[in-house]
Amino acid sequence: MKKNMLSLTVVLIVMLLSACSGGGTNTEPNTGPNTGPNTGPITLTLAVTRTEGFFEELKQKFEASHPGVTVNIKEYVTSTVDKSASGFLQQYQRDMEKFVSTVTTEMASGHGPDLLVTNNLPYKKYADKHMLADINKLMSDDTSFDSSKYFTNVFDTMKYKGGLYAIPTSVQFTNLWLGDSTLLGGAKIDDNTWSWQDFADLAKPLVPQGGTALGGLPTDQLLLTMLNPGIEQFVDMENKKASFDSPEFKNLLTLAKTMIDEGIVSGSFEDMIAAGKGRGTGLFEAGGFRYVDEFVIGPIERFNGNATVYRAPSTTPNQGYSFRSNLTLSINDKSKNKEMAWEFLKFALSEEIQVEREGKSGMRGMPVNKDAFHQLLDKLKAPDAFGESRTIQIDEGKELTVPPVTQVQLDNIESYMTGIRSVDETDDKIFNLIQTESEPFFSGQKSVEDVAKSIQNKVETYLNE
Amino acid sequence: MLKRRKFNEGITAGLFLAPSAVGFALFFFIPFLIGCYYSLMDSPVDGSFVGLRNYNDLLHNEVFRRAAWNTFRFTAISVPLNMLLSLGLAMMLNRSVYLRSLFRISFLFPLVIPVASVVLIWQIVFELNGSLNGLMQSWGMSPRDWMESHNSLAVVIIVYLWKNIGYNMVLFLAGLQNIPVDYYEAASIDGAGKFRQWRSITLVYLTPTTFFVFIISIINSFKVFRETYMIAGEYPHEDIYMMQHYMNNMFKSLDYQKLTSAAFLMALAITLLVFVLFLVERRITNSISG
Repeated sequence: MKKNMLSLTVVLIVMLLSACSGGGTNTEPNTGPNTGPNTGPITLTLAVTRTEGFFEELKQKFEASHPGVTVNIKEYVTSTVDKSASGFLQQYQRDMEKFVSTVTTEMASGHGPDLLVTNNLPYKKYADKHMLADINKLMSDDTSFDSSKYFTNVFDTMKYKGGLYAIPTSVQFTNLWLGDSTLLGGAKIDDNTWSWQDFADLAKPLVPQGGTALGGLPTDQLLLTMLNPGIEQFVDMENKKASFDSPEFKNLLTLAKTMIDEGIVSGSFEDMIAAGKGRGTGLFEAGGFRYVDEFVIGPIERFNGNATVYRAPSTTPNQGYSFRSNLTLSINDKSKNKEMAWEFLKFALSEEIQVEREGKSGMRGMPVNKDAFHQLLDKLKAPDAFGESRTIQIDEGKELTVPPVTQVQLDNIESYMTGIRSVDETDDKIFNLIQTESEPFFSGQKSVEDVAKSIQNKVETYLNE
Repeated sequence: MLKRRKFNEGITAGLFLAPSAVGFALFFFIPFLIGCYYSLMDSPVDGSFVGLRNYNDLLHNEVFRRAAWNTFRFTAISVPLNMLLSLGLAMMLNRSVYLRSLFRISFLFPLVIPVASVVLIWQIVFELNGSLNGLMQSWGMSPRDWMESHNSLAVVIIVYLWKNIGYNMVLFLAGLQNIPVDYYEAASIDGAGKFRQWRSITLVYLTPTTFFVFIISIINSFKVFRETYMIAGEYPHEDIYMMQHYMNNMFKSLDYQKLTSAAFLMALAITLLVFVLFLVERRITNSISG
């Protein structure tokens, strides 16, 4: 009887197994054709968190110049978010987590999209699993692609294990500040080398009454701001090592707490929203330069027209400029339309697309394409760059006249581009761990040793899993 | 004739068993085999056969080893503790105690309360700013972060015990009530003291129950992950980072190779353990009845 049961089970299992594999073989013939570009209709899938006008424009322009190709923009987050509602950040985090897990599962099952917007995706982990195409290789294999036409130093910041698995298509500076020259007086700042300690020492006596040294920065973001750029000093992604138990990191933690306790940096996220994004009472202000003309307008618009651009302090000297890209793209290595995906990427990097600035089709950042960048700089020089009267509206109905843009200014703007050395990218997991673990230290409930050790343990666990 | 009837009975039994066999195969056994297949490949898509390399990598992975050690340590501490306490409770409630049935029911409550709501309470108790720390502070002691220190293991063990003692107690109670009272009477006539009775009658006749409880406790001890995960998240203190944390995180970071080989190794370990236990049990039961 036992034997019969066994054979029955075996038969059942075999039947089920064969049914499964039968289903599997049916899909295989599809992989045959569709390998090269322009062989029959091609559908490119682009994974985005949330579709915007920009993607639609890009899709239409690409489809117009590449007949027979359809771009399918796949939107993963469809919930509507009310930015002013409380809990918006939590909602955003949940959406992102869901986005990452959905794309990750699709990629692992081999049915991922052809192109991915990698801004919120763990592309290094994907690269480890050989799921992303090495764009560097695609560039060098393609004779029609001239890499000298691009700010390759920007691309280089995203290199991982010798390859380029995600490519930034635009630049927004993240570690440039505007300083109030009136308040700073004659203070000497060597912004190429200054550290956070230098910043604290300099700012402490100068913080305006009731103000903060760094406007627009909620205190709970301070540590992450100090680590970005600079976290690579404590995390070695390639060798899977962390050093958060080092004296340097403990010093950084202590310094952050001192700055908060002494009121050098103050203000919660709620305060910031209430104050209208921290307008007014700061000694410095994070610039967030997105467009070339902001380098011209920013200094005359802020701090009563008496502002200077500084590079933010850093954890290590000579860190260079850091940026974030509004759009970082990756190509699925398992994609059947890899060549066409590369065409699409090239198209996104082309002068035609890159030169667009704002509006529906804008890159929302500065171009990584040199021709497009110079074209924008040339426009700045033109007498009608800021309208016929060269005046701009600022709040409270005030108007400012923009003086002619000098060649020195233009050279400076370009030097920011060529001086980019790091990308402001967040492995959300690590940043979340640092954020939650450091909280009890800032509230004075845990010692710096405990917190550093805890961060170190968790990050090492995460890296080595 | 007899043989034929037996055969027919076999078919009938097989047919009756078929629905559950199909379900088991479809949802457990076949995925398990597929998982085993993946554990021998280097990538779930277009992978090639790599033999035992994934297992080798896994066994050299520091985090995996820590997870395995933590799981083992947790089981080794909590299961005997659980059995001792639940046996004690069962023996107490087997006698005529005031409000006996109320006690019996109340120890079963943890089983029927949904985990999520319980975890909320535990969080409130053991949080850094939680009620336990508040109480300690009012007594003049310094608060500590229970879930982020070496105390975390103790906390998880307490949660596990609280959740599982009631179930084991009921099993032991049933076992105790199955022992005929005559044995005790005979033993006391022969002049055996209370302890001697407990050792030679209660313990011996509880052996089958004890084994069952033991196995169930071990299996339940693997399930404690749910509670730890909900209290302390995916990266808890290193002392309570269990196998299931590892597997869950591997799943999230799409490392199916490590995931499947870890799952397979764990299944192998549990199967071996249970197999050995059954062997031991058969030995002991034989020696009692023989």
